[in-house]
Amino acid sequence: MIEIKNLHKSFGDLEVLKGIDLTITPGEIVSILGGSGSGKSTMMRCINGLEGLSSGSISVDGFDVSNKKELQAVRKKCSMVFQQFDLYPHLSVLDNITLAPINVLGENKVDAKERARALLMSVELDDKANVYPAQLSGGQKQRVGICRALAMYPDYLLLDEVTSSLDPEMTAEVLVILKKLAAEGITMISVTHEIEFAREISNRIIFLDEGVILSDLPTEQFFSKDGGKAEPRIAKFLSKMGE
Amino acid sequence: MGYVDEGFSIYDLSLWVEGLGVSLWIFVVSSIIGIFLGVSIGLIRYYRVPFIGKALMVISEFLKNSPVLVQLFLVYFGIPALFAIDMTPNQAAIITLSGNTAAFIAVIVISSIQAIDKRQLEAARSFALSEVVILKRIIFPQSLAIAMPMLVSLAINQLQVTSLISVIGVIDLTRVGDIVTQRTFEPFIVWPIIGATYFVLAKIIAIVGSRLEKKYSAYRVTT
Repeated sequence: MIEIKNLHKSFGDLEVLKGIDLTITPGEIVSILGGSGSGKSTMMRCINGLEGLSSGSISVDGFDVSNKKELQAVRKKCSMVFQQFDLYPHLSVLDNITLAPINVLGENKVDAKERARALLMSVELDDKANVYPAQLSGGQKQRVGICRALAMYPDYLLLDEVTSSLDPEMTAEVLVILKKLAAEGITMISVTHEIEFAREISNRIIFLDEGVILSDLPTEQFFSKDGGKAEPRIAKFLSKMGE
Repeated sequence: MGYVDEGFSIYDLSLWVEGLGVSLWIFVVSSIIGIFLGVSIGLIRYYRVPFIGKALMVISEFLKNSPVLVQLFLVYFGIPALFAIDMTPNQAAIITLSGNTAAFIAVIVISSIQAIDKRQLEAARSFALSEVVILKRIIFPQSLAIAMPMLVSLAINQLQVTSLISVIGVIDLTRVGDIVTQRTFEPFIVWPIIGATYFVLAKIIAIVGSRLEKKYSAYRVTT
């Protein structure tokens, strides 16, 4: 369970998160929507300690992200996929995926590689195991990014705008994989601009506006006229996004 | 009498070999010490170790921005006077060139680490990789690739700088040129040979360097 309590985060004078309370239970597929600058990505980054908290607390299965030792436990439980992929450019696709399992989980090389190959197979990139990231398309890089995250056997998958730097075709190829994962029952928290995708896969939608949670509803209710759409800010956002 | 203008002898060749050996030895030893020190200084500075980082940077600024010849004199005449110890010209040469090389290496280390895309380091941290593993497996190989061209030109430069140590009496390649010239009165034969020797050494460094550069940068090639 991920528990966020009264989370505040400021960058200098700019307060980006103004008191977030949120609990995510295992098995949930949560999408976080909101305009740019609403604090979505910052909140994600706070969950695995890439940003320190200004105040409040976040715990993952009881481990406190603000505690340096417990943070490593949090990070083992939560794997992140990034907007810009952020693969290690000097390592082959296979080594990108196995680096953390070998060095953090202590997996032996042979097993780690075998598992990485299986993961690559599941995203149809088994022929790319030995190339460098520079030789991949954006969509392929992101599929590797997903494999890298899954290789850590995460309890929670954090997706930070994972299709925002991809063209529609590549976006589609990544979304197919995420849908498959969602169906397999992994807990997923995803910051996204893909409204249709969010609607299709998530069972809960959180709408962030100017650093506060404006609505936190089951997906169907969020998109219904007397649910989320009753809130003018959300109705406006959705109509802008073509809903 | 007959000691002047006797022409070249086999003895000159053995002197040349000896001088070449001394130059190479001092170059290699001071480069190894310089790399070790320079990488340490660079890392201390990069990880912002308080005080020591700043202090080391002040020293390396001095070493980068003052003539090597002056540093050589300071070490050769200054250290024995200050600490009442004996120092051979070779020791002074190795100390001076090591320090000088270290100062440049430190700057190369810092700038090539800073040239690495920071987001992938965040990604690595998000997977709970330790700072040691990140340094060894991510920062080091990439900064080496970035640093390679700078390291090669530094090495070529430091090789030429070794010729200065002849001034304090090290019998290096340049000093050998001096000795043979004085005996044979053939500067137009001796100095081109000495110059060509440095040139060939520099070329070897350049060729090996560019091979290494290619090898370490292979990952940057897009198809």
